[in-house]
Amino acid sequence: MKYWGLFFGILLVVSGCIDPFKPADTSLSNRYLVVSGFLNTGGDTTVITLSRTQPVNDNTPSLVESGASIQVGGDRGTVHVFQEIRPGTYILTPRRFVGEENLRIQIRTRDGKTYVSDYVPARQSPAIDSVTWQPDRPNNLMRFLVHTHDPSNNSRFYRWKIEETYQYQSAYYSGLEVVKQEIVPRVVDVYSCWRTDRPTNILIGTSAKLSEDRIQSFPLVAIHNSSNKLLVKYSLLVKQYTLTQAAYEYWDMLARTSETTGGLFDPQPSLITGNIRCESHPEELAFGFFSAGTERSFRLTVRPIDFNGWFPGTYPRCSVEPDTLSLEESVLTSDNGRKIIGMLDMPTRYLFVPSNCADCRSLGGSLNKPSWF
Amino acid sequence: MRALLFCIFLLLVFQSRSFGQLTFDGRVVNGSCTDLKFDELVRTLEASSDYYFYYNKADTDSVRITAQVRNQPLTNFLTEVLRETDLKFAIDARHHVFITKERPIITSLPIGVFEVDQDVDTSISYSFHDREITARLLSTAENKVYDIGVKTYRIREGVATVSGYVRNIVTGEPVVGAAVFIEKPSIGVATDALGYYTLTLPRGRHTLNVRSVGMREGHRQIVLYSNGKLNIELIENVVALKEIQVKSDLDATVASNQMGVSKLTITTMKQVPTAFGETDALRVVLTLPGVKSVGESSTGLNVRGGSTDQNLILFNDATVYNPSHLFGFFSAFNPDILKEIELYKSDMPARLGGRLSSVLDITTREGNKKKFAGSGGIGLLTGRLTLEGPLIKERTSLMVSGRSSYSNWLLKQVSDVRYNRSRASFYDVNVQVNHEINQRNSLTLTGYLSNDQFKFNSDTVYRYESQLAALKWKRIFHPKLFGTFTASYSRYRYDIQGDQFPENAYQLKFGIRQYNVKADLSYLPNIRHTMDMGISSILYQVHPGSFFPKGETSLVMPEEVQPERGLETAVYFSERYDITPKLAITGGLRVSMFQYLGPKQVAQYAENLPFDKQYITGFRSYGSGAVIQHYMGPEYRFSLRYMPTPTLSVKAGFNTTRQYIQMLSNTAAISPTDVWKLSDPYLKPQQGTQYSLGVYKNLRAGVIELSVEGYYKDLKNVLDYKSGDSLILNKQIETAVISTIGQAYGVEVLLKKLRGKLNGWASYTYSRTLLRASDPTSPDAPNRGKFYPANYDKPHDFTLISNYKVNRRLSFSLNFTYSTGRPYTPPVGKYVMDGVVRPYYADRNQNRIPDYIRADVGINIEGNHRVRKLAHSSWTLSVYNLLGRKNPYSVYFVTENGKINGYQLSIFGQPIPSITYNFKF
Repeated sequence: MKYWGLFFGILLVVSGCIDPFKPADTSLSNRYLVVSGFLNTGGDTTVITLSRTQPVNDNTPSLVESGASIQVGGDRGTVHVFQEIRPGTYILTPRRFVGEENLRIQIRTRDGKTYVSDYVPARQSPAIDSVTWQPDRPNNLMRFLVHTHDPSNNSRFYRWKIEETYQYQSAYYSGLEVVKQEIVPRVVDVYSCWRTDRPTNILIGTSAKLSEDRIQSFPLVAIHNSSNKLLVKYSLLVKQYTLTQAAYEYWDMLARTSETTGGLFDPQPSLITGNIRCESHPEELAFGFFSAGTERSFRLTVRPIDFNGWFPGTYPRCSVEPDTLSLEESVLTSDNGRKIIGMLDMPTRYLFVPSNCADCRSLGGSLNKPSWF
Repeated sequence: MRALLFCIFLLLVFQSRSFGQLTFDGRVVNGSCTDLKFDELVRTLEASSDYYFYYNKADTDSVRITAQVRNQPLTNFLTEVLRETDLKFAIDARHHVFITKERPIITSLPIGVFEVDQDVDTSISYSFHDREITARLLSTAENKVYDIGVKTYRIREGVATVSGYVRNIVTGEPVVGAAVFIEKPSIGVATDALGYYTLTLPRGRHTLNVRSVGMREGHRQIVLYSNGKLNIELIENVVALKEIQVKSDLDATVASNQMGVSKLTITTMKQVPTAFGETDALRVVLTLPGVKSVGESSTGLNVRGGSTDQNLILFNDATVYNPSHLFGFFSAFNPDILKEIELYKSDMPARLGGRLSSVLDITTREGNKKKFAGSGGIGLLTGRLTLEGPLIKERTSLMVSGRSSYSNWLLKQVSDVRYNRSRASFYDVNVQVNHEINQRNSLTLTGYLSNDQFKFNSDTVYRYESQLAALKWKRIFHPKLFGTFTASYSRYRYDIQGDQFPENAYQLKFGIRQYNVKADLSYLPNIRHTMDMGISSILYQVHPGSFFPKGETSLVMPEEVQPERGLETAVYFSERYDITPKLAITGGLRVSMFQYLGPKQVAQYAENLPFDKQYITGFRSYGSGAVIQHYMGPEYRFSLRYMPTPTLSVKAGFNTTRQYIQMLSNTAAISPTDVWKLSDPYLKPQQGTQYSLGVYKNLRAGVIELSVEGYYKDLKNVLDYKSGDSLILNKQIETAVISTIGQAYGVEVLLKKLRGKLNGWASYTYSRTLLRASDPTSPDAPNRGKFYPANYDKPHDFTLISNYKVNRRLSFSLNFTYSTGRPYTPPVGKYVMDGVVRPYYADRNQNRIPDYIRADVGINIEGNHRVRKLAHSSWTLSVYNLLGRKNPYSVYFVTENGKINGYQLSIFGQPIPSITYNFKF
C-alpha cells in the first residue's frame, strides 16, 4: 500500500498542476466587427447581432454596433433586408427562401465600411432521432446523448445547441414571512424554482468518416450528481443544425483554440475569423461565420423515477443550523436576509435559516414555471 | 630480475673489452674517463672490489660517463656521475649497489622495528609521485621492451609505422577513441571505431602512452625498427564500475579538426539526475549548449534553431523515428547498453546527412567476450536487465537487454476506479551480437524493439512501436585502408483505437519503413592525410494513414491515404589535410539525390493559384516505380583549424545540408501522432546552410577547457502548418502546410572541468530562431509574412552540470538550468459570439511564458570495491526539481463567466524524489 501511495504521488505530479497566469495585456486597440447569428430558412425569425471586439482585460459589456444596414442576398438575385429592433440586434421576419439558392450576408456599418460573407447553401437538418441518457456510475455523471441520421446522406456535419430547464427545491420550506414587522403566511411560495441554462460550449459532430450518415451517441452534456439538476425534473431541449464542411471546420477550430488549448498535444492557437471579410478595407478583420439552414429540435424531459434505481443527486442541505429567535426578535428581521422555516411554542419562537437555504431564487432560478414544463 | 642481471653480468664478464682509466680499491675511486658506457663502468668497479651492481640495462644504456676523480668514496663518485641522469643508487651493508630510476631503493629497515616494547614509526618513506608509476612497475607488460618490425643491429634514420588494436583486457572489447601518443616529440592519434590505431614515428626507442576513459593509463616501451604491429590491452578502472568518471576528452576539443561536436559517455550521463531516477540519454543531451526542447516532457531536440525532425538519430547506424517512451517522459534507450553519444551540431562529417540540423549518433557497447556478465536496475517505475556473454570465447559475444515499466501493473492494483481503468506501459528489448571473424574483419548485429501503450481514463488507446535492425561489417583492408559496410532497417508505426461507442469504433494507423545500405571507406595514406568516401542509399515506404472500422457494428468508412515511396542516394568524399601541425583543413562534398516514386495519384493544381483543394484540376497517375519527382544537390562540408599554441585553437566551418523527409506537426511538443512526409513535387527538400566559428582554449594543463562557438544558419523550405488545417489523414498535405524560411544565430560558451574531484560543465547560450513564410505575400503567411520566433526560441540558456566525488564510493551531483521562457501566442482581444465570450489570437509567438529554472541533485553510492564478489551494486538517489518551482510548460486562455482567464500548466510542480538500485555481476 505504501508504494501505491508513493506511486500516486508521482502520478499526481506528472498529471501536472494548473495555476492562474496573468500576463500583461497585449490586446490590440482595434475594434473589429463581430457578426453573430444564423439565417433561419425554416420559417422562423432570424436574429443577427453586430458587436465589436474589445481588449482582453476590458470587462465592460461589449460594444454593440448600431445603425448598420444588413441584407442577405442570394446568387439568383433575391434580397432580404434586416431591421434593427434594438441597438446591435437586427431581425429578418420569417419568409420563404428559394431552395437551391446560395446566400450571403452583406453589411454596411455606420462608418461606411462594407462587409460580405462567402456564399453558403441553406442546409436542411434532418430530424433528431432521439435523445437518451446514460449514467456513468464511477464518475457520478449522467450523460445525455443525441442520435440522428440522414437517410439521404447529405447532412454529414452537425451542430447542436442545448437548453437545460430544470426544477429544483430549497433545503427548507418556508411557509411564513415577515411583512411590516408582522409574521404572516407566505403569499408567494419560494420553495420550488425553474431555471434554464444554455451551455455555451460548441457541440459539433460529423459522420464524414462513416459509411452511413448517422450520428450515434454524441454526448451533449454530462451532469454531475452534485449539481442536483436532475433531482426533481429536468428537461433538455436540443436544437440541431446541419453545417457545411467549412462551417464545421470553423466551429471545430474555434472550439479548439478557445476551449481546449494548452494541453501537451493540443494545437497551438491561431487567428480564426470565419467567412466574413471587410470588402472596403481588406486589412480590417471581421469575426463570424455566416450559415443558413433550418433548425430541428427535440425535447427530453426526465424525472428521477425514470432512471431505474440511479439516484441523481443528494437531497439539498443547509450548511448552517437553524437559528432560534424570539417573537420580538423575529419581527425585526427582514425577509430578504432570512427565512422562517418553523415555529416553536411556549414561548413562541421562530426558526430561521439564511435565505439561500429556503428561497430557491437565491440559486438563480425563477418562480415562474414555464408553461410547457 | 636478479637472475636476469646475473646473466647480463656473466655475459659482461666473458666479454673482454678495454676498461676506462678508473681504479677502485673498495673504498675510493681514482682516475678519469671519457664517454664511458655505464656497463663498462660497472665492470671496472666490480672487477677490483667485492661490490656488486644490480641495474636494469634498459635504464642505463644511454648513460655515458665523463669524470675525473681523486680519492672519491664510491657514494660521492656515484652521486657525481648520476647527477645528470634520473638514476638513483643505494648501497647496502653487503656491498650490493642498486641502480634504480627516479627513486633509490631503501636498503635498511627503520630503527627499532624489532624492539617489541618500543612504539616506533615503522613506516618507510617510500613515496612515488603517483600511483601510475607503481602500477607501471607492477605491470610486466609495461616493463617489457617490444621490438617493432624487423630487428636490425643499427636503427636506420627515418620513420616507421606501428599499428594495432587497443582492447579491454577483461572483455576483449575494442577501446574506441583511446589516445595513443608519445610525448617527445608530441605525436599522437586516437583509435578508430574498431579500436585500431596507426602511428607513424621516428624509428628508435619510444614510450607509447595510451589513455582512454574508464581505463587505466597504459604504457609500452617500444623500439621501432620498421613497420610493425603492437596490440595493446588496457585494464579497466574496476573501482569506478564504469560509472563515476567523467569523460576527459583531454585536449581533443582543442586539437581535433571538428567543431560543434559533443561527446557524452555513459559515465557522464549516469551522473546527471533525472525525474524518475533512470539515466536518460536524451535528457543529458538537452543540457549541452545549443540544444533545446519546447518543454519538460518532450524529448524532441531543437539543435541550433532546427526543428525536431531535423535531427538524424542513429542507434548503431539505424535511424530512429521516435526516441521516446510514454509521450516523452522517458527516452527510448536502455542506459545499461549505451556506450556513448556523439552529437554533431554543425560540422557534420560528409558521411552523415539526410537531416538539416544535427546528427545524434548513439552507439552501444559490445557484449562481454570473455565471461558471462549481467547488469540491471530497479527504479520506481521501470526495471531493466542486461545479460551478456561469449558465444565463442574471445570472438563472439551476445548481449540481450530489456527494460519495462511496471506502472501498468501498479495502476491495476489501485482500487480507485478512476485510475484502474487507465493503462500506461512501455518496454524495449535489445539484442546485439558481436563477432570477430579475424583480426581484420568484425561483424555487429543489432536488433531493437520498443513498444508503448497508453490509455488514460478514456476509451482511446494509443500504441506506438519502433523496430530497428542493423548489420555492420568492419573490415581492415590494409593498415591504412578500412571500410565499414552497413545494412539497416527501421520501422515506426502507431495506431489509435477508439471504441467509446460501437458505431464509431475505429482504428487509425500510420507507419514508416526505411531500408538503408551504405559503404564507408577510410584511407590514411600518411599521417597528414585522411580520406573518407562512401555511398549510401535509403528506400522509404510511408503509410501516411489509414482509418478503419473496428468491430462489426462500426459504421466507420474505411479510408486510406495512398502510400508513398522514395529513394534517397548519396555519395561523398572528404579529406582532412594537416598542412602544418598548426593548420589543418577538411573539405568534403556529398551529393545527395532523391526520387519520389510511384505508384501514386498526384493532384494537379491550377496554375498561378495557391495549393488549395478548391483549385485541384485533376489527378495524374504514375505507375509503380515511376519517378514522379527527382531532386539532386551538392552538400558542402568545410572546416579549418588553426592551432597557434598547443592549448589554443581557432576553427571555422561552413556546411550545407539537404533533407528529403519531414515530420508534420501542429502541436507544440513532439506527439506520437505526428506524421512523416517525403518530399514530393510540391514539398521541396529542406535545405540548410551553416557558418560557424569557434575558439577553444585549454587552461591549467588541460584540466579546464573553455570554448566559445558562434553560428549563423539559414534554413529553406521548412514546413509549418497553416492555421487550422488537419494534418492527419490529409490526402493533399501540400494544402495544409506552408513553406517557411528560417534564420538562426547564436553564441555558445562552454566551460568544462574535466578531471579532479569536482568536475562537470557550465554552459551559456544566446540564440535566436526566427521563421517566416517563404512567400510573404501569401494570405496564409503567419504574422503577415514577417519573421516570428519559433516555438523553441529561448534566447538565454544557462546550464550547470556538476559532480563532486567525495570518495570512490560516494559522489554528489547538482544540475542547474535556467532558460528564457518559450514564446506563446497571446490573445489580442475578445468578442462575443452566440452569447459566449471568446478570445482571439493574431500573430504567432509574440509573448513569452515565465522563465524556466530548475535544480536537481543526485547522490550515487557505490557498494564496496572488492574485485571478487557476487555483484557490484550501487544506489542512486535523486531529487528532480529540488526547488519545487512550477515551471510552466504551456499557458492557455479560457473563457470563464465572460472573462478570459489565463492558466499555466506545469508538468513537474514539486520536487520529485526517486531511488534506483543498480547492479552488475
